[in-house]
Amino acid sequence: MEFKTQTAQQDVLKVYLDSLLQEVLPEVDELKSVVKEEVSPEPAPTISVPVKKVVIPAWATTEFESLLFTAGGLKLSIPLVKSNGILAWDSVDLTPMPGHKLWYLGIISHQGKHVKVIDVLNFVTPSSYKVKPLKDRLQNIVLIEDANWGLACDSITGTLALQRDGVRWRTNRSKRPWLAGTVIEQMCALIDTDEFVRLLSNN
Amino acid sequence: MIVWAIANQKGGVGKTTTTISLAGILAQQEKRVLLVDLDPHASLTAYLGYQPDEVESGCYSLFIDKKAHIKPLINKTAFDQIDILCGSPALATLERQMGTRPGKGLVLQQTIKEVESDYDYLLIDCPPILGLLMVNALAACNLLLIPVQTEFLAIKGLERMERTLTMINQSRKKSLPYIIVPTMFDRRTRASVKALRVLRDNFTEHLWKKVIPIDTLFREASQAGKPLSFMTPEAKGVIAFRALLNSITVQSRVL
Ligand SMILES: Nc1ncnc2c1ncn2[C@@H]1O[C@H](COP(=O)(O)OP(=O)(O)OP(=O)(O)O)[C@@H](O)[C@H]1O
Ligand SMILES: [Mg+2]
Repeated sequence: MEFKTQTAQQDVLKVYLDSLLQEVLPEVDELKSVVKEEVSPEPAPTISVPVKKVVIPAWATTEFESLLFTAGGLKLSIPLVKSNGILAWDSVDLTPMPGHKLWYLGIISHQGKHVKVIDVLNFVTPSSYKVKPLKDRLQNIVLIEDANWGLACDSITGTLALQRDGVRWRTNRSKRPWLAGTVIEQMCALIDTDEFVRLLSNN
Repeated sequence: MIVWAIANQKGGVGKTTTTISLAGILAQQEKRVLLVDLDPHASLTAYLGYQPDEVESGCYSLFIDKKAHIKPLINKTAFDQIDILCGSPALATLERQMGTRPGKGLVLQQTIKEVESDYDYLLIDCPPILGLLMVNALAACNLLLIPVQTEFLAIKGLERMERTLTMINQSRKKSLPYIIVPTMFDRRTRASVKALRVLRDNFTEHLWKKVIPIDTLFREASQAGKPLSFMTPEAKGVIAFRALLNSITVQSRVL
């Protein structure tokens, strides 16, 4: 019975909210003034406005799972299909590579492969670096690109099933091309791993 | 202009304290802040030195007068960077007067456009009940902060708040980002520690990783009519709110 009352209550609430949040058309006198403005004698502009194109990666055309993790308090995620596993920071033996960029932490050996490990936070926002010494901060490594690369991060938060609409896709990727969009509800950055790897390799 | 709503259907969880504390810190960072007090109790309004019963211009006029413009309704405060749209007891009658006239949940969202370039931040303090006013706040903001007292009953209230949000999102066909902020955390009491654990286990994704500690200076600041950061810049409560602001900013910087 409890269940039934619950739904009835929710129905009432839904009607209430739908009505409050309904986008209403402007009232008649407001409409008139709009019409007046629109029939101004100016010629219609002929220049075509560039259409904003949303770039949606192939893995996001249907519902997809994403892996959520944090790096220095920053919430990030990658499509689960692009991950090749997760390693615990304590369980790996990192060979540092001095003389490289700060975000390039070094190499680990995993299943006969050399995995290049990077500090995600420092790569993504170099200025917010120095929050804590690395060894206190980093707990996991997320493997991507056939385990050629490892993203060192603080913690894995979980996975999340996402619809295309759950993400605000970016329309222009000239700045931060690795950022595919934002997972809206979690306010979390969704990484386009292919772009990310391309940038890493170029650096 | 960045718009945040501070809401929870539960009373006394630290909404007003969160609103004024964040406003204080932002003001000290040279940001221009507009506060909107949507609570008929008008604690925020009283905090900043206005008598809620004597408020002549404020939120009430904005809702009741169909042609109202927001700018002339705004009041100054003792702090240069902080202005306020006052709350007043009459707000409690709005629901009755306007009924559920279609679209009335979008009044705030529409009217604040006028001050878009006058302020860097607009913070909305909500009443602890789901109704016209809270719906307006949720429709107008780009981020919702949900303060939750680290106590068992408050966590129950949080589930209700999340359900409300889901329904509002469905109505608007958009989803609103939100952050749950554990407040009044007292490390020495078991109830607080236990409640925090429950929060961390059940609300992981949206939960801010740190906490706002219990700090008696908040009450003193409210008596003094000042944001705590103006009274005691290094109070532990201020440090915690600064960290909260920082987490939100770091997050939004990459987005
Ligand atoms: N971190 C804190 N430490 C100590 N006291 C606090 C803290 N946060 C809030 N308080 C005190 O708790 C009381 C309730 O806080 P506040 O008014 O901010 O809650 P609220 O959610 O706005 O309440 P309402 O639902 O009544 O509007 C106030 O007296 C405030 O000074
Ligand atoms: Mg309050």
